Amino acid sequence: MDAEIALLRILHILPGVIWVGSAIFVAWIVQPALKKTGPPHVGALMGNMLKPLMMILHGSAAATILFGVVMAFRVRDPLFDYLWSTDWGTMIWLGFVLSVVGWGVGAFAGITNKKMAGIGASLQGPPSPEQGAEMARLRDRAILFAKVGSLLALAAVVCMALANHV
Amino acid sequence: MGTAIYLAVLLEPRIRSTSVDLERELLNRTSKLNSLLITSAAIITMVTGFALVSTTPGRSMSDLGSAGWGTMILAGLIASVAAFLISGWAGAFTAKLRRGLESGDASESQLASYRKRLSMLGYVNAVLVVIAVSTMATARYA
Repeated sequence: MDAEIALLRILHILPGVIWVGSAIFVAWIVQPALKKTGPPHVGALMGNMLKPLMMILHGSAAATILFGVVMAFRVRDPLFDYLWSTDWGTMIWLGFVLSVVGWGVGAFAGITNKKMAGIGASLQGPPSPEQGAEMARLRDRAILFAKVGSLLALAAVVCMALANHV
Repeated sequence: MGTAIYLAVLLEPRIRSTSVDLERELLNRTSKLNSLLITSAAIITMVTGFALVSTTPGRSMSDLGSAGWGTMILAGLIASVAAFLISGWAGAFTAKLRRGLESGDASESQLASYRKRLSMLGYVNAVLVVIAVSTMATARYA
């Protein structure tokens, strides 16, 4: 067994499926359900869940990209010759760009959710109409960012999965 | 797989520690859609996995269990089928918990028992899918 490549594949693929699966689940199922559920419990749940959620998403995204880059250097040498001159290389750099952009857009969703949670935490009673409108605007923006980020990450998976077969 | 791990490790424990009202509302809104997502993703993964084994040059279903590649693929297949069955079992407990919370007929001890079993099944499922992905990902190098 080529132990190094096998280990790199596990360290790349395992966090990758955790990242993409969680991102899709949060963006398309959990956040829309929380939007429909509304206050008062959602604020408490978000306050309770946001930090570990961001740790899981950012940690798995960083590990996926880092070990993916290391693996690319190990399986093709010199990597940059292959990247620009082969179909494999095109799919790999396209997947890399999509994953980094998807991660970035997902990070914006997290920042927007954090702003919304900040407003929620500062409330002493029910929100004023202005605060309610601002929270709804931030929530809708976070859902949009999360959906776009999850689709970009999914597109990255498609590119990477097809790279050896184009 | 991400959904299974996210549910078991993060979402369900935190929903339960927030409030019963939230648990009831979220179960009502997400449990059916969630089951549909996990079941369809699992079926697509397994069916296309079988198709890939059959169409990979130099490999066939008769190689399962023999040599390094076949052993790893068979281990991944067994882990993924077991995870799928456990996920279905967890779905049945989720439905019982949802109905119990909605109707108010279930006693506190029954609800606690459903939650405990759901939690345990969620963790077992997460471990099995990690095994399935790891064995499949490394099969080519075994």
